[in-house]
Amino acid sequence: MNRRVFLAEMRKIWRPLPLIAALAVFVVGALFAANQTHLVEGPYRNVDVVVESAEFGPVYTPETRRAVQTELEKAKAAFAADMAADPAAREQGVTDWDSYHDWQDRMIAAGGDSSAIDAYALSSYERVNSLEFLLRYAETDGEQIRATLNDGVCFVRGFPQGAPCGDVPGAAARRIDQLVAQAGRRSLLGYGVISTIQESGGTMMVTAVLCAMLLTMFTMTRDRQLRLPSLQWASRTGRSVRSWQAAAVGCSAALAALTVGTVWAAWLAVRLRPVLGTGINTALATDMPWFDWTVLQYLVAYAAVAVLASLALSLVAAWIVRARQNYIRMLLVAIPVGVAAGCLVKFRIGAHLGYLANPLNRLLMVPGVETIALAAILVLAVALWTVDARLLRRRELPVA
Amino acid sequence: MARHTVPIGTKTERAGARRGNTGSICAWELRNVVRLPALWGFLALCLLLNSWMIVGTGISAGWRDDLAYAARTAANAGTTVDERFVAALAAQPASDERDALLRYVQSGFGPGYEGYDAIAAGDWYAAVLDAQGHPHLALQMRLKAQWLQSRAEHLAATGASDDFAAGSLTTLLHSVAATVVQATMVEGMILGPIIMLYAVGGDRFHRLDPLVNASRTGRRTMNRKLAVGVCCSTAAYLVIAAAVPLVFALVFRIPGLWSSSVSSRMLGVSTDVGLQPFLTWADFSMGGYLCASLGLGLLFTLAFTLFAGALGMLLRNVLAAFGVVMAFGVAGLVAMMFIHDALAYQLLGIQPMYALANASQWFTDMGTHAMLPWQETVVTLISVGYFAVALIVARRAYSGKDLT
Amino acid sequence: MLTVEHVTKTFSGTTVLRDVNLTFEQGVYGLLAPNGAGKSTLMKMLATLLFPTDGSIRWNGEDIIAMDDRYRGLLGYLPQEFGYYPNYTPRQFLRYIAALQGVRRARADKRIEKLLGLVGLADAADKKMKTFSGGMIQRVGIAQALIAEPQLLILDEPTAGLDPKERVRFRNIIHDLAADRIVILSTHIVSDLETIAGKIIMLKNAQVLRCDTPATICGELEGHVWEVPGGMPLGDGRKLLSEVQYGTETRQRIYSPAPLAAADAITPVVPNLEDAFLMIYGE
Repeated sequence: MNRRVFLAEMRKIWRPLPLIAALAVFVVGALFAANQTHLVEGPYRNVDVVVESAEFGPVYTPETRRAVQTELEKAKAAFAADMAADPAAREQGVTDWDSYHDWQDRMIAAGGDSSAIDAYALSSYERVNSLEFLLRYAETDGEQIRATLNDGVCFVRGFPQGAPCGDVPGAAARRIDQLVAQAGRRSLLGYGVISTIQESGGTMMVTAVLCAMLLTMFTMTRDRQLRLPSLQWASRTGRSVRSWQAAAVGCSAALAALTVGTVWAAWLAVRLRPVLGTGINTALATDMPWFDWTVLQYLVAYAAVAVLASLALSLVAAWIVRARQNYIRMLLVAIPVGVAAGCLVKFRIGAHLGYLANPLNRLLMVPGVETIALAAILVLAVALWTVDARLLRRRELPVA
Repeated sequence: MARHTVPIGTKTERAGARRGNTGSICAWELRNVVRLPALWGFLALCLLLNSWMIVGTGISAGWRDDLAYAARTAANAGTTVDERFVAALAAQPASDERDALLRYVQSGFGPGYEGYDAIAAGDWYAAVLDAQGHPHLALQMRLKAQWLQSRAEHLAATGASDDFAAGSLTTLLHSVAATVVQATMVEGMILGPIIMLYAVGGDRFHRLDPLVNASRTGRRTMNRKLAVGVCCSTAAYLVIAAAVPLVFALVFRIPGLWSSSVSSRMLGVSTDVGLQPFLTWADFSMGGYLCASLGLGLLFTLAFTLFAGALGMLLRNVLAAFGVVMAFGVAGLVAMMFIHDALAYQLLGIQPMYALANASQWFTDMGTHAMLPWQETVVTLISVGYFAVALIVARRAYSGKDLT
Repeated sequence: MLTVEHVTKTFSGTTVLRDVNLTFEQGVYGLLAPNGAGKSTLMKMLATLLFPTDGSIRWNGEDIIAMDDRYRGLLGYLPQEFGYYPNYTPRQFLRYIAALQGVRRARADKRIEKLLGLVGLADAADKKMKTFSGGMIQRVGIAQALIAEPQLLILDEPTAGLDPKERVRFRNIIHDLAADRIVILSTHIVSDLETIAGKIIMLKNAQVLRCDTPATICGELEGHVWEVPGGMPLGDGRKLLSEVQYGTETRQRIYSPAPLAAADAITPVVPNLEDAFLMIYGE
């Protein structure tokens, strides 16, 4: 009996018009997410961050260092060849990388034109630059890593950059110890990969939550508009139909979010295929990851949190909106609720998920604080619906 | 029993009764709208959000000290950035704020927008349009650059470029103002249609439609409903908008700020051609510019309100009508954000979201986003125009529509 | 057996029903009272949509609120303003109601076929209800009330919107059903009650005024209801019940405590339930 009522309520949610509206939101969200990729970088030349990240393998080891140094020498030789072929460079006596930078420093100090030699447009310049950057950050030792991460903790706690802030909270201190111990085993994942996942993931989460809410927020008001409650409450199922409606809301929200999250993760996974097995604990970023995830696991984490967020927030939203007297009242309540949920997901949950930079760490600096927050909202939602079901047993049918 | 075959009252009496009834019908329709508690709740939330955006910026730790210093500087050194001002500023006690402000007033453009060349900027834009294959638009861009150059000369001659405004915070203030104006526009875009749809379609919720339309006033009641919908939407927007300059004035209390020119060289705008002063097509003070922006926001709200009214009559389903209005808005905004071809941008920009997408640069040059001066105003007026036509057409269709 | 025991219902200080005591056994009961007398309130309490302020309603001695789904499972309810999903067909809508009533799918499908035939909607079973007339909608409403083979049927204005042929069909259905269940219906179409109700319950001033057979109620007016020419002065003690049109002639149906002198134009008539309603509730 209950399963059929549940399925009937699910059918009422997955109707053509709300589905079309959710699809429209999905398309807009996808457009925004697709424009939030940072996988091609460089001021003058397009550098593929994914290819660069995968070039020297998933982990930075002594062998990797040797390979990078070899490539660096090759790149500097290529730069020297480009300088030899450049008349302006020959005229200025610039023959290689070091002499180019010496010349540039002299020009800047004297107020001269340091763009006389157009080195920035050269691929060899870009290559040397990125390899030197890589070596500079990859070669930081454990204590330098600890200092950087401690600074990060202090910054999150609201202290100015570089200012000491006393003892590091327990969970953060333990994590810093773990990362310091992994100093010799970090990846070379470009920050563009992480920022792509985070920014487009945040947008994906907002899209998932809004799609879920569009599908689920209107059903009870529609029932009331159509004068169904008298039939529903007088049936054997009675007032407990509301609980089944809430269950249908939760399942539908989760399903919608799962669809959105899966599509997003699959799209990005294809693009990030060469680095799916690479760890997000990279030498090329200073923000502290709470977990030792690979890129693939990070994608899955974003999608899973999107499902949890949609489930929790849709249940709360549906409780707040419930069965309003008419659609106008429903919209006046549902829109602020939707905006609040979107802002919460965009700026607090989805921002730097799984990293210390996530704003929720200011309140509680523990791993998975975003999931804890969403779980708390879910518990609240369940409590609200439970109390609602209890109170409903003694509530009389309202005037239509 | 005798049956009446002659209508009661003379023709004059009946016409008088209609006129007298108009007022009372409007009053009843107004009563329906204003007695919706959720509406006031929504309005209050909008006011809270907008105020928080302004206050949050003004009191945030990063800007509070700079704001106080700018206010002290304006009080001590005056509100015109000239040699006397710079000397007075340099003479103030040494501090990070003083040094930062000194660097700021001496960087960027010099007096009279020295260092800015409108013609060169216009040529750069024209080259972009030529590369896209739109020579006519390129020609228009060069023409516009000439008009802009004469505006720059006029503003420099009036001393507008030397107003202190908010010093180094001027750009931040402008940015916050633009954000708040955009927020009020979005709020108006949502609330205006909701109010209109409630006015137009509210009877259906209570199954009063057949009764109302079968009465003596009949379908003419819709005219009153539309009028009340427009008035209430406008009033709601005005309530939201009126709070904005009020809160700004309370938070940003710098002497001479609101009367200084918005084209002060303290306000630099990043564009594709680099840093550019904020040169408006008419002379605006900071306060005047904010009010003009909010005024354009009113037209923007009106456009969407009229659209909702037309849909409310045609679709007879409040939710569907609201959905279509929002879908139109979102589609318009997405077009403005993702279309890069100049001609397509101009053609697809003849809709209200063009204004929202360019809210940070209203009444200025706007680069390749505008071919004409005041284009955001013209486009919004055109939008109001065609939605008004849509409303009239829908009203006519409603007169002959089956009301099931 | 359904018993209403000392039930009082108050809304915001206004007592709508006071100390109502009723017993329902097999058969058809008609609730007759003017608007606002508490008919729908009583029916909603029987359907557990409202709760008594005082007193209790019992099914075979057990409180219906405490019985919860066991009571509602044997109840079939047709509300006064019946709601439905416009894009559902009758078959889909009845399946939804069957799910709410806990009727197994296979059994529900057979039942739906039978009920659609019973209410004359077999041909429209798969058409969307938004295309239906008011009468067809009402027939779907009657069908949904019967979906779980209820022992207790509560029908609020069930013949509203039905044409005479449909009303006859409805009366026949009720007649058949009442053989082994309790049917409580309210209607303003007094003639419907006269033909099918075994007992009439009349409410006045928030209390039960009468609970009797139509014959008993009408029998009290036997010999006191006359048809007289229209315009004839009534005199003391007499009461105008209604006016009747015979072609171009208008005649009055009146109540007279004492017999009238016989005359060509003055005829005694058999009192009906409408006469009794007008006598009891008239001012």
